[in-house]
Amino acid sequence: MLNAATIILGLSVLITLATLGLPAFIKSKADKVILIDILTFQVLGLCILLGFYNNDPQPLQFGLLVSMLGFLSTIVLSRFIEPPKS
Amino acid sequence: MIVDLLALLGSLSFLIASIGLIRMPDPIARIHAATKASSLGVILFTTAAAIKFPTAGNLFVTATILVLVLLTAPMACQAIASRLIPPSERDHGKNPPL
Repeated sequence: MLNAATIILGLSVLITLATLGLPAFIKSKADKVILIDILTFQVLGLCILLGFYNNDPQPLQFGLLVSMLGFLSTIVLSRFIEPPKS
Repeated sequence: MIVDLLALLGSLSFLIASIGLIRMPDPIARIHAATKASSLGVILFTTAAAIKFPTAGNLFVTATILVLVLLTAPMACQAIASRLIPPSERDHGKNPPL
């Protein structure tokens, strides 16, 4: 069941990366910021799954760092979205 | 067993978030899909980690991850969404963008 969880989470990371890479899905800068935001949460999930596989609690602290960096990067990147006029 | 089940449910909610990013029509709906499903996935994953590694230090780390994500995900959502609304429609100019 842990293998199925890893496959599903890897598939969702691949979907997010493909959406970030293909210009057909990206219509504005806000979409890129949202994609990077959700990608950090998925990397946090991958860190916790790495800890489950090795039976080692060390990667939980990587997850803590990833969650902090994800918040800061989202706040910084959201400054680059131009607000609409009118 | 329960750890694997929680990890599987968390992965499924992340997959739902990824599908919602493709399906939703405009950026505000995409924020709705991304933030809520990801928060649910992080709740499930940290609960699984707290059950799997039940020592005091690991419980502290998992609780810190959970509180941090639950505090900061709505703030990040607000920071993106306040940039998408024109200033004239934003509560008569009383709430400036974050």
